[in-house]
Amino acid sequence: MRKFKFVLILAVVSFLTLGIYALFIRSIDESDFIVETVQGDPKQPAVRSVQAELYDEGLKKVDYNVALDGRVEKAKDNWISGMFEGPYNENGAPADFRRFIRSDYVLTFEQQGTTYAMGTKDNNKWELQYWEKGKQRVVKKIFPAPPEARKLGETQLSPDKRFGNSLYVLAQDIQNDSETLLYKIDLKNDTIQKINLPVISKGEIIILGIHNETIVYYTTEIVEGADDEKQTLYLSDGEKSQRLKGLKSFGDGETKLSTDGTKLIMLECEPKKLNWTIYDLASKKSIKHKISIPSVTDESGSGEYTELKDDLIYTANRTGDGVFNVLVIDALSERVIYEGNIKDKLKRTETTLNSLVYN
Amino acid sequence: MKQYLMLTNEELKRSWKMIVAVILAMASIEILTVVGRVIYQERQVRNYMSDAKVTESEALRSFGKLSFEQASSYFSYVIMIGIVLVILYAIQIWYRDWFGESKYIYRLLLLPGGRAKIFFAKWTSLALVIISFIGLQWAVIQLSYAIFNWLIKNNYRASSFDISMTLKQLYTMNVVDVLILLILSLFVVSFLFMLVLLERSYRKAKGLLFIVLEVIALLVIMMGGMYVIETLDIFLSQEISGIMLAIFVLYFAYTIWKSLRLLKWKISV
Repeated sequence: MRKFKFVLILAVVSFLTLGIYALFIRSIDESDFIVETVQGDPKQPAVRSVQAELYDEGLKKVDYNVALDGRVEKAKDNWISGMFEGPYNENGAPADFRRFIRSDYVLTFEQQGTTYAMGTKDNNKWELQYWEKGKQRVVKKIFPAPPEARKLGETQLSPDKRFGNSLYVLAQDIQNDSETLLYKIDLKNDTIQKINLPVISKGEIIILGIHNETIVYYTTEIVEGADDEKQTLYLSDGEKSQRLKGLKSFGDGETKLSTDGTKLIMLECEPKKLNWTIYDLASKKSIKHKISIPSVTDESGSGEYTELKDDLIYTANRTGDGVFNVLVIDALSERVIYEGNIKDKLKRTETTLNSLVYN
Repeated sequence: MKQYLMLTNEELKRSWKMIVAVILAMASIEILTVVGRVIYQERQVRNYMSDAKVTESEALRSFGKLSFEQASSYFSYVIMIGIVLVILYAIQIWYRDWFGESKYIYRLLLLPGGRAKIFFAKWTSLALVIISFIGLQWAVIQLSYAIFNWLIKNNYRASSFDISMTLKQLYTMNVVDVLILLILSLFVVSFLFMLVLLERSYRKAKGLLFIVLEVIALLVIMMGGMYVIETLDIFLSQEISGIMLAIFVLYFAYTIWKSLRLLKWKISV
């Protein structure tokens, strides 16, 4: 043993000190989450699919996905696993599809578990690929570009909304200030149809919602001498458009068309409360709603996330150390369909809310 | 195996005083900086209290409390010095055999059996020094934290245990990262060994020329690889990571293979 004295000393020192480090790592508390349901059924489809993404920003970095029915997934990254992580919308998708969506000319859009990717290389043909996560399949389609779209310069195609078998796509020349064109792609018959938006703009067109032939959109134009850009809201049936006046807040928060296509929901978040307006497209009448939300704003930050999706308002707010309140509200009826509290038994202040994700 | 372990032991024995001195010096400096920072903070608060005629709590509100993260802010500089010393040791461990009074290298090269054990004995010594360095540094951080808590008044201390962002890069609280850090360190050691053996194989201008060529080759592999990947633009980020990892593993193996070849065929007594 004396012959290897120095090797042994350093080996023991290494083993002991790294052992101390490993024990220290083991001794660091990790959040232990439980979900307490206040009201509503956490197993109903609109709630079951929701997960809260929480990050532990303390000494030991841990990511948590907490489902409202109490399931908790934990992930710890090291340097190597971090190198091989892919973006969220690529998870599980085949390499060819991932290769396609990372092309410069391709834009993606995700709706109900399907990622749509679309682009055009040379303006002569449009390439569409979509990854259906549930069915684990990629659908590839190539269309000849519509005649008016071929005249555009560098064309950017933005898939915007899927409704039934129709995928609505915006086409815009990103080099020149040309008008934005809207197309409906029939995914069953592989046809492209131009949707006429009678009121057009040299600026940007933002589609707020599409339902059958009903399209709600707004245009933005830069007004010379003014700081803000001018936003004008329109309702179109594909033939004619009418301007919707008196709705000022549509561009401030989150505005979406209801799933039945008859109402416009405009959501605005304020500290400790949510305000939203339901605008009936037929009667042109508005109803205002508001609801108080429990939240705290202290040195650890507010930790707030709100999203309007399928007529439901999903909001999560930090209400204390390691406590996050989740509310799911039916925007049309103002009814709370679910309320629950995600609680960290250890009440760790280092755990922060990132977002709510829907699977 | 026995001969390899004895050689490793001999390498460590020859550097033992230096290793112990450096470790003790670094630990002392780090602990002293924490003690000094606590004393400085308390003195500042006391001076402010007497100058501004305010209470202790008011002075602490103005100055803020001292966290261990602040008190240990100099640790990263000491660690950087430690890294430089390890790099110098990786070079010195070879050159001392040639430039020492006894020309120890002749005894090593004339040992029966292959010369690979000479290379791996030095390589293992460096590996043990690096692991000890990482582990002891953590022990010093913990010891400093205990001294910090013992020394500072409770109302002067802020929050619980935390370390600076730079230290968090080294201590990520993931044991796998320690292993990766060790592999990266050993790659640097192997690369330095190869450069030293190149110089010792060809000597003077020719040796320097080969060193320059080897460094240029490494830069070409790195920059060229990145340029080709970006120009082709066909790889996914995970594939790029895979390619980079494969290049790293291959080059790591190359540095060891090249060093062993130089030691076997080029370096003569």
